[in-house]
Amino acid sequence: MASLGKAVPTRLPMGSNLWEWITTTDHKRIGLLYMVTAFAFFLIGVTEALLMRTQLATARNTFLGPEAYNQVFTMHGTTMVFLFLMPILAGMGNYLVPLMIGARDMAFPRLNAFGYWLLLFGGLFMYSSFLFGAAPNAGWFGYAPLTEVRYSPGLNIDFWALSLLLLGISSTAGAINFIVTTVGLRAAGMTFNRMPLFVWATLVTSFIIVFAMPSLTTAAVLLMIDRRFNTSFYLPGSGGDPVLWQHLFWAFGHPEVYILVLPAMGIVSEVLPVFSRKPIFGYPFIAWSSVAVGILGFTVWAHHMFAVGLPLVAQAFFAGSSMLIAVPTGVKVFNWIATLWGGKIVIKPPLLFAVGFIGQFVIGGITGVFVAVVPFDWQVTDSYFVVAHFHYTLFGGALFGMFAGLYYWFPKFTGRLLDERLGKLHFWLILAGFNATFFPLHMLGLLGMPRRVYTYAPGLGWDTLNLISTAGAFVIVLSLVIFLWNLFTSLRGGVMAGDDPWDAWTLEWSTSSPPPAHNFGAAPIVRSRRPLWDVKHPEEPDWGKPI
Amino acid sequence: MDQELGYGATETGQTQESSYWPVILAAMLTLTLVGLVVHPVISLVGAVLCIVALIAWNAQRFQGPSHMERVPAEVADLLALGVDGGVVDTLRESSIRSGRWGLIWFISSEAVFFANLIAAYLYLRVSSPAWPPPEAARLEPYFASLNTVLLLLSTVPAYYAHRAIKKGDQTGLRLGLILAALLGALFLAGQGYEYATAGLTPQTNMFAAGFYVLTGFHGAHVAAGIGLLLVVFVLSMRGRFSAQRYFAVEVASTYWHFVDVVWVFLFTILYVLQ
Repeated sequence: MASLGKAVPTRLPMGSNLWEWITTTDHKRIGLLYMVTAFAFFLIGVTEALLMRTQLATARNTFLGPEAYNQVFTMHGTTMVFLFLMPILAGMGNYLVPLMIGARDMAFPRLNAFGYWLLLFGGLFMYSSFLFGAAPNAGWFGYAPLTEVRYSPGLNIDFWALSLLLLGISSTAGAINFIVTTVGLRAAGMTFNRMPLFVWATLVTSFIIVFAMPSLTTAAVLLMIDRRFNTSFYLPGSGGDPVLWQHLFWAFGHPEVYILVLPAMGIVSEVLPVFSRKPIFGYPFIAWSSVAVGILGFTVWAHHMFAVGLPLVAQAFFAGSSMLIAVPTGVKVFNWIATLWGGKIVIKPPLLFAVGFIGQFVIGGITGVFVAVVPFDWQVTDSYFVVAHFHYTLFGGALFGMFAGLYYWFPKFTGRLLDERLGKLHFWLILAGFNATFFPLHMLGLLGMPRRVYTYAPGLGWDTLNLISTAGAFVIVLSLVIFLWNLFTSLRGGVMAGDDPWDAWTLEWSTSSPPPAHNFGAAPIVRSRRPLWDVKHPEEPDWGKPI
Repeated sequence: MDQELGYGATETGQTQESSYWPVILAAMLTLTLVGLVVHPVISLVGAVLCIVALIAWNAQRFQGPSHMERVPAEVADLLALGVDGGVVDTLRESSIRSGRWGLIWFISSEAVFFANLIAAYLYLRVSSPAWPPPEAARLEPYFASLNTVLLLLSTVPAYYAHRAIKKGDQTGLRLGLILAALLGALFLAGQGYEYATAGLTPQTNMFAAGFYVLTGFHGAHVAAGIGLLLVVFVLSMRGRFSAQRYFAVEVASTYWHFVDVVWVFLFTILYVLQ
């Protein structure tokens, strides 16, 4: 007996009126709102990056002054982390988690909407600072005491700290919703051991948010109290300590890296098996390595602080834990390779981006082990080497994973496929552009070029590498223009996808594209990790085989 | 509906519930913080409107998603699922279970926030040469001990209210709620007296700054807890609760216990280990 809910197709929700979108509590609409908003902020963040790269194209360039440059790099980092990567992955989770676990909606639909609106208003609040000529300008990590009133008397830092508080509440509300939904609303038979790996990743990410976000809140709250009530929590000489800010910020900031990367890893774990035409290799290892990363992620924060003069024991501990966290990540990489191994690989854009993720994330992971070595970190800290390292993990990693997911699930979201030829062109261009932009930064860092400085002197051997990097940035922009064109044309005239264009195996493909308001016609029943495989192949269902 | 495809055919023409309170609450919360860069009056207005929006949110008759009925145990056995899905579960039970877990994780994140504040305080204390800084006034532990006893005592009526309504005892519920709120208010008054007489301002030294931040955030949570108890008290006067229906009581009393536990840590750190 086949055992899956089949749904009634409905029309695209696009044509409905504004009020419906403002008051919606449907997880799919909220997911789309998250994604569209995040993508708009992404384009702003890209523009800021382009301004920076233009300024740095040649030595002693005067395109941007130092004050403008400070604002642009601060807003670039803050935007990409808080207003793009976090919300777009949360948006995908919002759309997909209930579908993947066979639920009708999130556990708290109104809280879900609240989280989205707070994200939008928080982002607008942050960007309204430009109207006052007071955009945040102390870096996305806002180091004290630079952020104290004595050194930053304007409103710049207030805009930054206050909007981060709003965004923190937004993501905490979302995370609690994900946890309760995943634990409580799974369909019959959807045990933890059968949950899609993207759901696993979102669940672990949500726990990280619940436990890490309060550190950022504490940091920002104490900063605002210092600024408004003239206390001195971060001011040396009056009993305070700027290193306290760094501890609080990075106790959030490093888990944050995994908040951005784990969902992308989850996407890769969904895409690879479908496009290799075989089940994921080592499912429990991938699931539990996410848990291991989540826990270890809380023990590595001070590797961002090797240069501040921590006690020797602390340095040894954080160096060790930072190397250790590469192990569960490595476990995932080997399982992904084993999934591809011997598969009938279908080369489509989702697969290309997933494979791109693996290659580039490995580079970022390896340089991550470099900078975990304390003396090496002393050499390259605050240099472009670090910029190269984390862009390989967050751009080469999280962003490529996000694109893999977007190409994979776009047909589910809209009912239409993205154009494959343009998708492949987008992939190869962004791959080339990304590496041209960021690989030279490793060399620039080793040559001693400091980050967060608006210009540099000629004749230091930095000129050619900077020019290559800037050229690469324009290639990235070209690839994004192609992607936007693809998005625009496919939305209007793309090939109709049908319910299940990739012949996939998870529950979201069992309902129509886009799914109806109530997701499923009948409550699905799950008997294996690939419920849709069981339906398609009743002669050899997964649940009949030993795992 | 094709019964063969899954368990429990469901309604098709189901309309999605909508609500404008989420966007309003988000806007008001933003307004509260915008006030901090524009004018404090805006913050005050925003904060008041936040409370209004919160109450309206909870007053809205919101059905929520009709979550799929879980599979009854007999059916689960029949299908040899061998899984944890075999619970008969009504809509309300499922939404209360969700609510309970939501509360637990919300309180967890609050607890981590206080843990961070305490860690920051201890960090500054450990890295300072003399503690408390010698020149300033010290805190008198006797009055604060009395105040602590008040707050700890208040957990008893909060617990009692919860227990009473489980048995359907309306009078016990109301008595417990109002007593807990009253003791909480007395605690806050005592805290205000302490602020007025301690001879410290947040600017005096690092100890004083830490003292005001820790007790200030705790006090705000106590105030929120009192508000919650009072709202639940008003609802109880309208006869909203019964031995089967008391989730709001559970929320208020659990939150109240949390606020009390936090104080035990703060009292130890600020007064006992001064």
